[in-house]
Amino acid sequence: MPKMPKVFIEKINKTKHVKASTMQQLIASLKLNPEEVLTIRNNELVTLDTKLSEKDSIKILSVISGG
Amino acid sequence: MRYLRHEQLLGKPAQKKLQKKTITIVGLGALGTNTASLLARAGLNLKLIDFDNVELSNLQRQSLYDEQGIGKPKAAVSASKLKKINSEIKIKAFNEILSSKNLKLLNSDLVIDCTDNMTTRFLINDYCYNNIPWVHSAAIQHTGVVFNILPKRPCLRCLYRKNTDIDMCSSLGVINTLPSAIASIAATQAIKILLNKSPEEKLIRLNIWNNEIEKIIVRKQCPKCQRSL
Repeated sequence: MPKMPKVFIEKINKTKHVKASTMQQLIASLKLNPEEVLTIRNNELVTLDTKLSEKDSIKILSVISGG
Repeated sequence: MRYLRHEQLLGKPAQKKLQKKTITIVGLGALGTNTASLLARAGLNLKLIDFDNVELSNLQRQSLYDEQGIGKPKAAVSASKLKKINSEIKIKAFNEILSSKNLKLLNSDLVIDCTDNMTTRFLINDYCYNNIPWVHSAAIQHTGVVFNILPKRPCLRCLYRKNTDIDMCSSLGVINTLPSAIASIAATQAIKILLNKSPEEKLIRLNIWNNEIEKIIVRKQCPKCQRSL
């Protein structure tokens, strides 16, 4: 049963609940390019295969490359 | 007298130690010029690498340039300005693009990445891996990052999935107060690394518009770093 964790998406500056059991599912559901974002769970950068729980604090931050 | 305030804070031996070190700064845009200025004033010897020329649109945030420098090579203009700030340090300027053919230019006590592209950053990462400590810095719009990459610690490939360029200041813009703030964090981290004073292990991320700073845990997760676990 997919979870509905609360996710902050920096690119659109919004927080919403997204149905996803893994970070991969979450990124796909948000139609984001995984190469363009940092996937953060509970203040830690995690891989796409990371499982998510409804208690997790999740942030999808944009990769920055300017100088 | 020049370094009195540092000597009061860090101690004379630490300041002397800094003056014996050489830092390579790759990229002399907004991050690079602000970082170089701070480190030259701190008494560090510098190697400066950039292939570009100064443009009018640089003057909004690139602190070593003025209208007289427009059209001239950034490396030479930066070196000339920094020499006026501190004539006691050694400065070498390289008007070159960093590529796989000249990576030896990075040989120094520490490298600071002030570039604007991931391709160069990954070149730095792979050359410095477990050998030369380096500081990754980047900034766009109102957000910037600093990440220390030290031997035996997570590398840039643990942070980013691919060396894809996502954004450019030239298209998305940048508030001119951000680069100096990110440069201050990066230069502070460089000093802490060189003095072995507990440099930050987490990714530092600053949003200067919202006054938000966060620190994010990064673990070894690229294949190369995982093999070393």
